Amino acid sequence: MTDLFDIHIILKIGFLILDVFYIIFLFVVLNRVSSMSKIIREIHDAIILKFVAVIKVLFAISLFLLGLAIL
Amino acid sequence: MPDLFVAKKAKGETKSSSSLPLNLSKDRAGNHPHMFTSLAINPDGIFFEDKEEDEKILLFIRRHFITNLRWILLAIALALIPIPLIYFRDTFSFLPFVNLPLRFITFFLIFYYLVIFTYMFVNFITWYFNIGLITNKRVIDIDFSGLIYTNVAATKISLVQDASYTQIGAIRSFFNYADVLVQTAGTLDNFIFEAVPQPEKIVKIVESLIGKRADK
Repeated sequence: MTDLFDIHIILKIGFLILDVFYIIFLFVVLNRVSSMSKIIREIHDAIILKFVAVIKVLFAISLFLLGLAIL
Repeated sequence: MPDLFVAKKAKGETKSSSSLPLNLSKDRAGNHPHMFTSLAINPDGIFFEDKEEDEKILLFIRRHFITNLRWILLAIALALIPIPLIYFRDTFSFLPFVNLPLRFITFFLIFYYLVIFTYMFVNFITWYFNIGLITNKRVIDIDFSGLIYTNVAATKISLVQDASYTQIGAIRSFFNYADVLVQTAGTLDNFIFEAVPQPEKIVKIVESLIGKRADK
């Protein structure tokens, strides 16, 4: 029982670390997309907005997972 | 000496189009590039940093979309892996992952698919932002590799000396894409547009631009 409890704690911490790294990675992606959109852009800038929207959705899911890992 | 034959002017032909190189004035296909466009001739509505007012983009080049097939197939394969593991849970009970509480499995699966989706997304934006532009004044190569490397190189069209392409392999021949090499004068770097569709058309257009310079 104690072992199982330890495994749960280790898994929780592991997932927490993974999720935090993932969120940092998403920030990098978001930064890159916005910097590239300044170098080259198409008239239908909606594509860049779609990219940003996708990243926001990923952020939301990762934050949800972060909450799930903490609780 | 009187002209024996004078070609009739096409109905839709405008003054501006006649000033463009040979192939560009005729071929107006792909003027409105969409999300998956690999090659656009005379594209409308594309802007880049430091674009001059009288500068006109003649060619907009990306890698052929088929070059994305490898990561698409890999992502599909990775996405399919957990399905048999969950479906035949009893058979795979020797694996420690399968015996975890449902909460952890759910968390792991959501995170797993999130990573796969991000992998696809990053690969797609890498392809999307890897662009070559040929304008009436410059050749521009925007290299976006991974998430930490960006290289923007440009040279004047007057410094371009030659253009050629290399097409090796059955797949490249079948889908008609190749590496286009634009050679510049002296010690300046050459431009390589990798795996671009319709290479012969691109080479012809670049050559016509060089010819145009020689005429002046």
